[in-house]
Amino acid sequence: MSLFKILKNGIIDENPSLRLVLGMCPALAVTTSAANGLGMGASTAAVLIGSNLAVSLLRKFIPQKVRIPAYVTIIAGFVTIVQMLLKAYLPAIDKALGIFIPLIVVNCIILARAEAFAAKNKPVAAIADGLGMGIGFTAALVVMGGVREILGNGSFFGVQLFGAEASPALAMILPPGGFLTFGIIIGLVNRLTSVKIKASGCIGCGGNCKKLEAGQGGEMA
Amino acid sequence: MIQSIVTAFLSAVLIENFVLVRFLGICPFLGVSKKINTALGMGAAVIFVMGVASGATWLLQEYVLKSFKIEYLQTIGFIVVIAALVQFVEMVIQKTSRQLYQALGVYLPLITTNCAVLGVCLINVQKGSDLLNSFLYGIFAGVGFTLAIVLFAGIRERLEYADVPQSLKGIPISLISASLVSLAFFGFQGLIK
Amino acid sequence: MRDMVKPALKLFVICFVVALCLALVNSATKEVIAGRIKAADEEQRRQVIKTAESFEELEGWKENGQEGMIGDVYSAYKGDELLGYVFTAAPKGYGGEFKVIVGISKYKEVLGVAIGDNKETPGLGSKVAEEKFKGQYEGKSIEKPFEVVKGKASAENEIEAVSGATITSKAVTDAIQASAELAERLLKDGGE
Repeated sequence: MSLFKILKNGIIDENPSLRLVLGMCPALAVTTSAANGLGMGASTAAVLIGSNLAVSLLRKFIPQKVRIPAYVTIIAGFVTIVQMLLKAYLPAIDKALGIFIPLIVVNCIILARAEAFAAKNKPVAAIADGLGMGIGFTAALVVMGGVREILGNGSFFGVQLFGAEASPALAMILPPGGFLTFGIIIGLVNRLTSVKIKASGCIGCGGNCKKLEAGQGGEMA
Repeated sequence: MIQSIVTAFLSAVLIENFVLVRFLGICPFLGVSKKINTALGMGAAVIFVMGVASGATWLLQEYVLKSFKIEYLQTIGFIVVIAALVQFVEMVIQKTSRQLYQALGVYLPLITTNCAVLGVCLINVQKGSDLLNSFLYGIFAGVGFTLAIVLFAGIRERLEYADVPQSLKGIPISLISASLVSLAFFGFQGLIK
Repeated sequence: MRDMVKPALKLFVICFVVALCLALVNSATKEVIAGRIKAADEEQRRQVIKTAESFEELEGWKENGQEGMIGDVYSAYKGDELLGYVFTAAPKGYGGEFKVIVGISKYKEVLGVAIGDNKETPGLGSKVAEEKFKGQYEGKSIEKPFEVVKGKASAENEIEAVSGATITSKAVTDAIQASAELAERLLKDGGE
């Protein structure tokens, strides 16, 4: 696969949020504004690229038997680094995202890519995959956050769109609005592409169903 | 004492429901909530793991991370403790109840990376709760999780027979129904002043 | 036995390297984080007493037997002149405790109010952090206790609640009231 194809695959064909339906907790929880979605997406992408690269470099070193704990350790390491960097240099984002930053560890996208892609490919391809998936995830989160912010708060990236008289539908930035927006967006994507979402009954494992059936460690968001 | 426990219980189960208000543990919420029985089993396992994990990570935080001043290893430490615990629960269930093991077999390893479990441990540290309160909060949050998935399983059993537009079938309609359930839970806000 | 030992060793090596990396990043960012937290606190104090040049943490104010929801007190100075006090209070709102920072002048007047991070309902309770609400306290005397009213405020000491968020509005007012009482006492004790 060419690098461009790998990128496109992550952003469009197998968009982790909208097509694979992975990493739903952050997709719902932090998307109360477009800026938060962007922050969460970028943090996740950074971890994803780092862990993909590390796993790919170490793919011959990591023993098959303990690969899941090894991946989790590497991912947790990158998450902690991102967390410390955010605290030091972008405290506003760290505050807005709260515990969802450490929870990137259990975001299934990252473990799923380590297992399904990085462990089998060369470092450059693994970085491209991480970048593509990261952009795809970020784009989905910004769209979610944007829709919810416009409808629920009447603003976009913090800029007020309507006059003071307009009263936005507050519920959209509250939890019910999160579920509703996500459901409708996925429905729309289904409608537009006429290809059904892959995961069914196996939603949490995003294409890793075989691994699950084998009873090995999996992941959920 | 009793009053504060009751308040904490109501707050964790109804007002700040882990799934519907805090958005933690969404994947198992949608994945395992197709049948009420499986939902109940999963819920029981999660309650147990969350309670024990809350206690264990509290001890880890207090006696290891804090005393050696290595709080930056928190995320790694917590996830390792949770993974070990889940392994243990899996072994116990496998030995004691074949039926339950068959029903939950696939999902059990997933509890490790159920973000509700890691989430409850992190929230406990954030709140600065003591050992007892951390443990109780873990249990209560697990009960809230169970309540949400069991309720939702009931709805989804009905949804199976509903006539839903093709493109909304599956995940989208589940999310939209979840939105309505979540809206209903909003009614509990302000239950405790 | 051998195929158990080797993977375990390798896993250990990975853990060790990861921990080492984290220790490095931690030591590189620790100072920055600590400095940032300090600077953020300082900035918040400056926000509530804008004319102040320096702040000094006040000790010993707790000994008088009441602490309540007040976390810390700073004296604000311009040169050597005491301008007033900055109080950090933690009232319980709708979504748990949050921080309210209040600046009170030595002439018993509220100089400024800042609201810290909170988990109040976005769009309702969170509006107390907006100028429209918190600006109501500014310039008012603390001699009469503040009261929260629904609808238009008609008297000097009345505060118009954020509609739909009376609990949060009351929490902020409680915090300011507690600060005001402490300020009265500190000023009576000799002004310094």
